[in-house]
Amino acid sequence: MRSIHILALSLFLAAPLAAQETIKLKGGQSVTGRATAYDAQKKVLSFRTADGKDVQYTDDQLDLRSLYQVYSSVIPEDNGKGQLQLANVARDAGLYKYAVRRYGMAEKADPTLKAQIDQELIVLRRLAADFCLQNARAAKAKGNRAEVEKWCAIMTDKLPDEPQTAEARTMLDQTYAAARNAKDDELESKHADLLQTDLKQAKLRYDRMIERSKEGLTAKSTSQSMQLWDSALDDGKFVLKEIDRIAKKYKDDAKVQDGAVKYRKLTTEQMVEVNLHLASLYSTRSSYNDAMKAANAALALDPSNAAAQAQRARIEQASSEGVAWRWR
Amino acid sequence: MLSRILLLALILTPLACRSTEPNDSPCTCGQAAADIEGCSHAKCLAGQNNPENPDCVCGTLSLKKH
Repeated sequence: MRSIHILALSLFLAAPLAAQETIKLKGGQSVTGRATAYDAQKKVLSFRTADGKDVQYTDDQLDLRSLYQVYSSVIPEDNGKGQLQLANVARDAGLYKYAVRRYGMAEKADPTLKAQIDQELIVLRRLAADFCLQNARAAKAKGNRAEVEKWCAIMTDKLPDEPQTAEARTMLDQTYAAARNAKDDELESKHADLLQTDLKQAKLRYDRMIERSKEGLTAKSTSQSMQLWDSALDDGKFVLKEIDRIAKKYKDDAKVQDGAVKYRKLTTEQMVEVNLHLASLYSTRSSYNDAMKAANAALALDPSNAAAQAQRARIEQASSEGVAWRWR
Repeated sequence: MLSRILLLALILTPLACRSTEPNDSPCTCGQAAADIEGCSHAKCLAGQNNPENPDCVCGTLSLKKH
């Protein structure tokens, strides 16, 4: 008897016990506890709440995102039709990336579903484009240029053929070069003499790199985007070499050294961004080796870049699953 | 007796504790960008749910597959 008490007390002390799960109901209420069973016939989830109450929720009572989690818990990956159904739930819940992954799994499990999946992907792209454009417009209304650019770039990378992306291209056209030119305005005035002489060629190539980066985002075909971005990267490499040359030439000039550091940073940031666009584009086409090369190139320029690290991790995941995460 | 309880608790703790491993990428599930880009938190990438983020949609609940 005493040992039972010891065990019970020990288990209590060993808290936190098994991790809690959170599900959400329609209307936004969160419930924490542990899912215990799901009845696929009756479409009922049994759940033990954190305070020990056993409750049941029908599919209709669950928030779509939680329903997606329930389905992803019970549908095996080799069940093609089940994965297709799961992908549709993810899509309708607004979990577009998750839906793309599930469509890939459905196709892997049952290649005969391809035609049906292609039809569902048409709906997904339309909904995703609406979602991105809505976010871009909201950011524009708030004057948040970085967010506008982020959403528009997602659209041009992932959803280049959607009608909504035309508006995203126009927005990018209006803001992209202006935002970048603003970044080097101060440097331009500070180093006007150098830019007219030693750095003249580098400045021309820097401006061209910006222009080509923008044109890559607003291009109507992915092959054109790739060409423009490759060319922008060539310009960037040239600029970095020139900066190194000037830094060496004026090694005792503090002002030049300071300018070199700042220009190198600007150029590197731009090259990282272009590499990430390339990685994203290749990922969208399921060309994971090329995507990985681009992500690694970004990390070679800036090893601590969080976006590049995240991008590489996602590419590794997609590649290791052997599932085509194709958006089109 | 207290020492036996503490010892047992010490042994059981690693079995119960499921805290998130150190990771540079935060769990972005629930944010608009994650809906379209995915989440790069280590647990999500490993196909697990991150219990520290109630909005995490990665991984599965503790249910058996059919």
